[in-house]
Amino acid sequence: MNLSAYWPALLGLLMGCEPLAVPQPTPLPCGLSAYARHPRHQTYLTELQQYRQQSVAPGSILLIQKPGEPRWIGAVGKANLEHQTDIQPCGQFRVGSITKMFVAVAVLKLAEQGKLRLDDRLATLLPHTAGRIPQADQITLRHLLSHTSGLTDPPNESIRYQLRIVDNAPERFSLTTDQLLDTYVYGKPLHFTPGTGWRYSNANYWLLGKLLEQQTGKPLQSVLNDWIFKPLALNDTYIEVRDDSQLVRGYADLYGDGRLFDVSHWDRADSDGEADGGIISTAADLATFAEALFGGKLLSDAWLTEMLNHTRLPSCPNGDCEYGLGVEHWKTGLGLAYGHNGGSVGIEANLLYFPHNRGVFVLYKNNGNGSDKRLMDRLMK
Amino acid sequence: MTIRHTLALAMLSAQIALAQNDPIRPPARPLTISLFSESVSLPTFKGFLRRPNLGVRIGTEFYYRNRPGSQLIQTLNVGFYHHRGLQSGLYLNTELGYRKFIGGFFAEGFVGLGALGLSQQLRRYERTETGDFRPASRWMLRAMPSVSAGVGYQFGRQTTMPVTLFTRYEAFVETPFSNRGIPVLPHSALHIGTRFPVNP
Repeated sequence: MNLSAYWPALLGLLMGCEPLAVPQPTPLPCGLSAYARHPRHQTYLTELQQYRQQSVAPGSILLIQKPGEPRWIGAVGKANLEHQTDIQPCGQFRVGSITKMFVAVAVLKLAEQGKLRLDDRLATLLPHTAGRIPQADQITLRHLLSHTSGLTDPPNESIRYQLRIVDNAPERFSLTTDQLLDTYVYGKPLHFTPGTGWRYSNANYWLLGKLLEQQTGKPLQSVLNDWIFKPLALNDTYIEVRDDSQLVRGYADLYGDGRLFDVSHWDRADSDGEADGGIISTAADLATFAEALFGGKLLSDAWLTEMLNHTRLPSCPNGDCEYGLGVEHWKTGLGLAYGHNGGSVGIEANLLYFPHNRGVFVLYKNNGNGSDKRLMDRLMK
Repeated sequence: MTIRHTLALAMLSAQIALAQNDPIRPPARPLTISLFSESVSLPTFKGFLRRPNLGVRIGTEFYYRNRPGSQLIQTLNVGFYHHRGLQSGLYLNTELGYRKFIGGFFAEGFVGLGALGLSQQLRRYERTETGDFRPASRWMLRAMPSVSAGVGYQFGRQTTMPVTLFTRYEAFVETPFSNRGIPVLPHSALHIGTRFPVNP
């Protein structure tokens, strides 16, 4: 048998392996002139450029809103490396877990309307979870909102979950929330008795998304659209699955060699449409949302206070879990800030609100490698 | 090099040439061919048929010990797979294994090491001196440790031309890999194959 003839064919197959197509976005009509006239434009732009370089991100967007000066939004670098498309201040991006703030607001609005109580039990609210989630009759709505349910967190804890995205992103993309719960949550043990510990879990918000749909009889996108996006005129914000060719693409150094892979389709498969991290938005829309939420335009004072209250448990460092109901508490150099971080394989986003001066800080980059956020302390002074 | 060394080398070359002209045929060498379905996963039997990523492997075996009831084996293989949406891989590997026969049936286990050349389907970029990014080569070379286990049946054991059918489950990793603290990217492969002697 002459095998030598087969190897050129195999090499041909290997070389013929086409890379995944990256759609070319259309240019955004995004005016820069207003921000270029900002009194601190050059300072902020220089800081953002340094941040992008240090965090090895193709592109980055920064929004700063402080008393005494107009809102500033800047963007440096690229949104799409394949087509060398510049990232724009008005560019839409995946916000990751910042979505949880929106979902928590919607749930708290239901509570405000008297349709839900924070002490309602999961097994009562979503009866099909009884017998599938351990102690579902002890997990409360508050536990889900504050990550004190003890539920497992497949996106961060399950290597099988993560590898499934790598192996077959379209298949993961096609899974419904029910299928996710069935595969990765139901029948899995809790990390602790509900209410006795704090452990971040995206599964809490998968369930809250289901709950919103069940309680309102509407899909999650309609709930968020009717209650938050439309009233606040967040015209560039949505959660439903749409064509994503216009979005800032996500990148990750998968092999630790400094080279970045375009992993946008993994991020899409992981989060698009989901209540734990599916929102697409812009820096401006996020800031508008934060202003409205913390300014009392979305929830009454009593329910906003409930949302912001610290989750306190002996098992947390110094007894403070630094989380409210869908809101992270950030102890910054400038005092306490409220907001949320959002991260995925290829992106990182941060939304913070500083109650002492009503400042808003949005920072986004399209490399999911974590970053040094001291930039915030310097710029928000 | 001295004249003595040159003469010795010439004599050695002549002996090799004579040996190659020896009319006695060398023993047949086993040729192993398998088709496999590959996936990126922790060890599992799920999913191989749902969305098969096909591969082929061709190799041979050398025996440290070759008894009627057992064999201690070194393999040498080349293989190729195409994982849709992720990569294509071409590899060269060698394995050390043990095969135990019960009649014509056998069970076997192997540990191996190889070099895996990858052509990534994900677009890849590298940083320039100015901090921008430009397209980078999609080719990568990785180490490929593996373990595998299988069962099979050998037909015509007492003949000079035994033919084997087998199935084998193989778990291999590509390394180095580094994402979210995971140092390796695990793969699984389910092989079905045949082995038969060929005369070189």
